[in-house]
Amino acid sequence: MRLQIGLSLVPGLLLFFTFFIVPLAVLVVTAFSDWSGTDFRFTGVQNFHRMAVDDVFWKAVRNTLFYSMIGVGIQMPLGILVGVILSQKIPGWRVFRAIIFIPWVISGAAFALVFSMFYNPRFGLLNDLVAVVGLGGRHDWLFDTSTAPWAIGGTFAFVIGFTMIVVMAEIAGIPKELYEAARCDGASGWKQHRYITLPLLRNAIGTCVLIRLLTDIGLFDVVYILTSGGPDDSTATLALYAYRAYLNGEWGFANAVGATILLIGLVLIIGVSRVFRIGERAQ
Amino acid sequence: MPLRRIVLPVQAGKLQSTLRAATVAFFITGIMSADFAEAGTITITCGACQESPSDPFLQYNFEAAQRFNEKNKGKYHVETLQNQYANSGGPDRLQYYKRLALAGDLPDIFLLNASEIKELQQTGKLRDFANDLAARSAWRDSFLKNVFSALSSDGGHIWAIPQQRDAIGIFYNKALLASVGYSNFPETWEDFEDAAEKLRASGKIAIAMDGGWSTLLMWTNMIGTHPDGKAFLEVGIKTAEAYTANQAVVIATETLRRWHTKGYVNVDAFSGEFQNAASVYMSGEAAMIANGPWMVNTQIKTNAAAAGLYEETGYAPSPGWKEAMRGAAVVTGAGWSSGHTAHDTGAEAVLAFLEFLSSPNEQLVQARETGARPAVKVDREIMQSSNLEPLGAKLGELADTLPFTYPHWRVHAPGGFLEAWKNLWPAYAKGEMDTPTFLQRLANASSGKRG
Amino acid sequence: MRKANRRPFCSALAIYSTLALTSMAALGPTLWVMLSSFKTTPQIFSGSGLLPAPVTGQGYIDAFTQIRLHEYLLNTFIYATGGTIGALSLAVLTAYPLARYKFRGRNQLVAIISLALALPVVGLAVPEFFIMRALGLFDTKIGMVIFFSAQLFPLSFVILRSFLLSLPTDLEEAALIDGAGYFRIVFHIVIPLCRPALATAAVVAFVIIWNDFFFANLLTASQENQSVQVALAGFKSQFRFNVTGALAGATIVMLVPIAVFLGLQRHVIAGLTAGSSK
Repeated sequence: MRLQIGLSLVPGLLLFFTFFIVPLAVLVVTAFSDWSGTDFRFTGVQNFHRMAVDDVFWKAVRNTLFYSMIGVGIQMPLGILVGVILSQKIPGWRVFRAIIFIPWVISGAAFALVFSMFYNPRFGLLNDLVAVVGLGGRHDWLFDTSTAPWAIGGTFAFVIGFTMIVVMAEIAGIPKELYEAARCDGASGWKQHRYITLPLLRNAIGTCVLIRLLTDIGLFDVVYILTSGGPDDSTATLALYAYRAYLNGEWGFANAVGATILLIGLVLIIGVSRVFRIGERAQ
Repeated sequence: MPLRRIVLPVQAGKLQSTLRAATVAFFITGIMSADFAEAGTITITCGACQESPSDPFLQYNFEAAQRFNEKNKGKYHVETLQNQYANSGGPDRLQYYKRLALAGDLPDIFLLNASEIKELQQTGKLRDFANDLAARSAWRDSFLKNVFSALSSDGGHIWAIPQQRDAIGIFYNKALLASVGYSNFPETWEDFEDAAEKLRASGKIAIAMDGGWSTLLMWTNMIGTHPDGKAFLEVGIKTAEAYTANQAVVIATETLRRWHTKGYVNVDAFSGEFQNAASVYMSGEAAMIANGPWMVNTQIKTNAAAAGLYEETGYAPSPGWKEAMRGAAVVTGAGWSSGHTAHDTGAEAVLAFLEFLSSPNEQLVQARETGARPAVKVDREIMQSSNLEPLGAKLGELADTLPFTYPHWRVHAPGGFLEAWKNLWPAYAKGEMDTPTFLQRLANASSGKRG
Repeated sequence: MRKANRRPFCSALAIYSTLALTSMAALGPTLWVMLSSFKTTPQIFSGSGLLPAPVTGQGYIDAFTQIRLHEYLLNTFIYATGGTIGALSLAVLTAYPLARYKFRGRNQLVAIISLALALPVVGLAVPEFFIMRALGLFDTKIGMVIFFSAQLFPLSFVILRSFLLSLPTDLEEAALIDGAGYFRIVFHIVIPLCRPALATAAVVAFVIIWNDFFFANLLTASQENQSVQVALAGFKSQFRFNVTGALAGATIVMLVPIAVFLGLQRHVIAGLTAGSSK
């Protein structure tokens, strides 16, 4: 039996070891080196020092945070709101659930193509829509430093399907008696959600926030394809910053940035888990 | 935890059939890609020889490779690699080849432009043709003068064999220019701006730009027709110091920005996508666009152009800063490089194919099919009688008599130049930094200097 | 009386306008581009008219004749199905003992694999490239299948293990008493029982691999191994840009996961909620 269990475990663990543990080890070691794939030289914390004094790195950090804020500040509340609404099983809820979820299964590359057309100042739809509201002008959304980060954020701000689904699944698990009791006590619909639904959603929301943040700090596709991080690095992200270093053959430096991304991820996991007390039972 | 709550219907049947189909598909592709080359034949791989219904350059390369294979049956064989970036000439292509170089997997022959060569030769994975050419002096002497300069680096290394030698000018819509009183293309930059102003006033786009290649051609033209300009385009552009110090560069940069603020340019001129610029010229909305002569065959003559556009199109050299002081970028746009560094039978095959491609005959076929001019000496009469595309041919001849000829920006610019330009130019053109700041940052970023 | 009636009406109005606006923001640009794929090149570049006039299918013809979309689609299909099969089969084999048997280090193993699920993997880009190259898997189809199997392994593992934990063990125990061996139990009892969870994990894994751009871009180079997502990004920068072909291609590429989602909605939703709360 022992042998069979071992045989059963080995292939999966081997693959996991090769593509998760080994890369992690390589990353940690080479982050402290000057490495181009062939030449290798330990340089201590020099890579991290170089990062710290590079303006572009800090721009990338700021942009990455900005995108995360869009995730937490727009996607989350909107996703929760829509999830709560659709959970009432109002007429047509299945249709809305499908429509609102669809963007989540569309790839970043396809979205980038969609938005490069949508934002185009000459033939894009956005300027036409803005004109309808009465704000004329042919704004170059993607290539103006004041609007570019917002334009990038706009590509995913309304991709709220994931949060919506998780919220709906979670609400489906709340015993109906809780609401009935509240209604007997005279609580209005809004109050019921405020005092019953939201607290019970804490765990699920925390998980969504975490997954969202982890996705956002790795944001790459749309930025890379739409603007390559420009203009004036106003849309660059950490992942893109690392990728540029990789293309320059500065693998050690790229890995130092990569290690930073993972470190931020780790801090987020711990932080968000604490704040939302993920894993603890809801009160 | 939620899984425990969820009861799912069994629906694996569909998936199973999908999986079976995938397995079959996987094995079929594996078998099909097997190599059936004849034994005894030396086979080399070409990364820019695939059949292409849309790109005349690739199509020519493909046909030339077939001719070569036929001629050398049993001896040499050029095998075509499918390559999305075969002739795209953008940053994506450079990144693609960099990855291949890092993986030690470059094709035996493929096309590169000057700035890509500069980057790629640093990997040590490109063949240096200097010795090969020295050993074949007749071949070396068959080329036109200066065609190797863009493909070489200090120390006499030659990293590619030139594919063509083109004069690059400005396409213009004769009817649109005539509508504002210019029956001939403007001679001076002053007239150029005057025409542009009148075109703008009549609701037209004076000059189409893309924020990348085409914008930089106009920048090059203004620099190149300035007395101080040639030095910059040939040498200074490589260094971090010359950008702000060179008067031609400062004037050209500021003039170019002015065209944007005055509205002579299409509104989507910053994307770095050439097609955004091309589309307004092709639809007849824009009066001018800078590009090489190949654009006639690849775009203007295709059905993507407005009806009658080809007949309305003229092709002119760049205006000058003074009268009768015009110029044009004359360049070897691209060259054939090789990832085959060894001196063995494979190298023989590579050289045989390259000699074949640079024979006067093949160069004329290429010229006919693509509009690109030969990089080797061809008898003038043969040239005139071989039915070349007239727009490009005329500018090509005219270019030899112009006061200014210069390489275009891509020939000597550092590898990171275009990316740096696309990153900084929109911010500068919209007034977010002054000229010295822009030029210094451009210089630093493109040469990889930090800070 | 009247007041009481107006309130539900107002709140219904508010609710439906919220939903309509959100739907539009979520899907509007995509729908517009899908519609545009039936326009002519001049109409697209002039931006005139919301609806295609005249309607043309030329983009779809070009997508297959010029852009050769089917070759990229086949590659992506191979990666997505191969990677899904690989991830699922290995995940089942690993998750079963880790759900059922107690041994030293078990909990640590489970924790480490689950933690990998929360790793922002883009940070590992260069080491992954390095390892793929060292193993001779860079720019090969089989390499991509193996890589995606590994990438989706943690997610499949977590989904399957939590499902296994929820299953009663009676059947397995009965089989054990009848003298069935370990692998017999796995293949004849556990895997059939896991079918719902396998289907769920398969759909999610398929969609994730189908949509991947980052690693497909990083780990392939030649056109014959390129995924359709990488090809999509290339359409935009290709020197000869066929806009209708590119939009038609993008539409097809988007429709595949959308069809998978609409057809197997329940599995996707179950998979997401399972993966999100371990």
